[in-house]
Amino acid sequence: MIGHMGNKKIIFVLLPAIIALGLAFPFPRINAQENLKSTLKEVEEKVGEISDIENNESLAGEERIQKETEARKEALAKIFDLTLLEDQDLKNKLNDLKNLTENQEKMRSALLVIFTENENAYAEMRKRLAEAKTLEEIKQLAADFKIWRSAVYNPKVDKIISFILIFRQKNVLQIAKSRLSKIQADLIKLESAKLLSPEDTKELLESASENIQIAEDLRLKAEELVEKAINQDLSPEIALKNEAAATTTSKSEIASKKSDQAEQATEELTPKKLIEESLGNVKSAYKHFISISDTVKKKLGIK
Amino acid sequence: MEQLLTKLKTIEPGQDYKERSRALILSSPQGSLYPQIFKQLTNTFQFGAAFSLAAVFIFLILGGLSVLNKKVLSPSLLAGVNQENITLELEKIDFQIQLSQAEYYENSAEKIEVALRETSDELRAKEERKEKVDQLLDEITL
Repeated sequence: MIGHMGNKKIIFVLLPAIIALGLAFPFPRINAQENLKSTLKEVEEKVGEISDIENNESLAGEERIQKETEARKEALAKIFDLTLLEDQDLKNKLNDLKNLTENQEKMRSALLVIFTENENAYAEMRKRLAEAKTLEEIKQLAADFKIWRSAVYNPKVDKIISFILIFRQKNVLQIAKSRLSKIQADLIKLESAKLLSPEDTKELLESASENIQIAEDLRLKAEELVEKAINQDLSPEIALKNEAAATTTSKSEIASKKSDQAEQATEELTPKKLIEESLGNVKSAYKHFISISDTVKKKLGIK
Repeated sequence: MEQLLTKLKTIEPGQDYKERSRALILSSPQGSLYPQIFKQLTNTFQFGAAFSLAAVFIFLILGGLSVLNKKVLSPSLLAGVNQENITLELEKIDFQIQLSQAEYYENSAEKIEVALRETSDELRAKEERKEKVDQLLDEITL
């Protein structure tokens, strides 16, 4: 009896402590994506419930209106929750970026301001959601939130995603360049030992180098586009001045001398598409690395 | 007894004897431990060993080095071109994760727009507006 009471005490002491610890520590970043996806699914389910009520012919009059009002309010609340989760996720991703240049730090600071700006909209939304009672009020609130997301929120998210992708692509390119250097060093060893001739891998090496250069040029162009967009938001006058100065000495002009492909690609593409192209070029470089490895294995008679 | 031992300690050979003995030792012939024939064999072996070593070096210089190199330049020393390293690196550069994170936000934006459209009953509201506008136009034209 005493032992049983002792166990209960332990549970009552430990359980709140465990819950408190769980709340004190943020969700692991690895599960952030899963959390977003599951909440999005819940939004879709809630919207599905609205359709079910609309199609339910057995419901009529006040009962239908009441159920529809509840369903729409719950769906809207869930969409609002998802927006807040996305906000937090993006803020975390931005804060996680390390080793930024001075210019990139400025861009990050400008992007982080977005979250402060969003707070006003969220405060308004919370208030209206709490106060909305009628079906018409909820429908109007949903319509207003849709307009806000489309006109204000989504473009900001695009910039943040682009910035994060551009920064991560910089790391990818560093790894690829480092791999290229290691391969070149090994090939020199093999050529010195007369186990390989330069002609055996020259073409592959040149192609890989070219791919990496194109990837870098595309990444640079993407960064310029994002910087331009951020400056536009911060100060339209400064953005115009910068654009005028940029036409005389442009990084993109220097890049275009190195790579016609990159220059052609930039005309219609968004930063995200430029980064996709850049990644594609890095992948091509790695295919060449693997071909070089195959050539070396054949020459050395290694299986 | 003690005095005797101290005295014994001081005993030394005479100078003449010292010099004569030294001369005898130094002038005696250095005799070999092994018989002469064995000595001949040892010399032959020494020559053979030197010759073999020279042959090995010649072999290495002329072409054996490439065989050795193939063993020496093992995957661990050619880490740059090692295919396993390259493939692992390609996987580690989390291509898909990067793009999938961007795709989430693209997909979620579209889906949330649809959800808000449904929640606001936008389509019905648009139809009602259109009907109202048509009605007003009818009234004006009639």
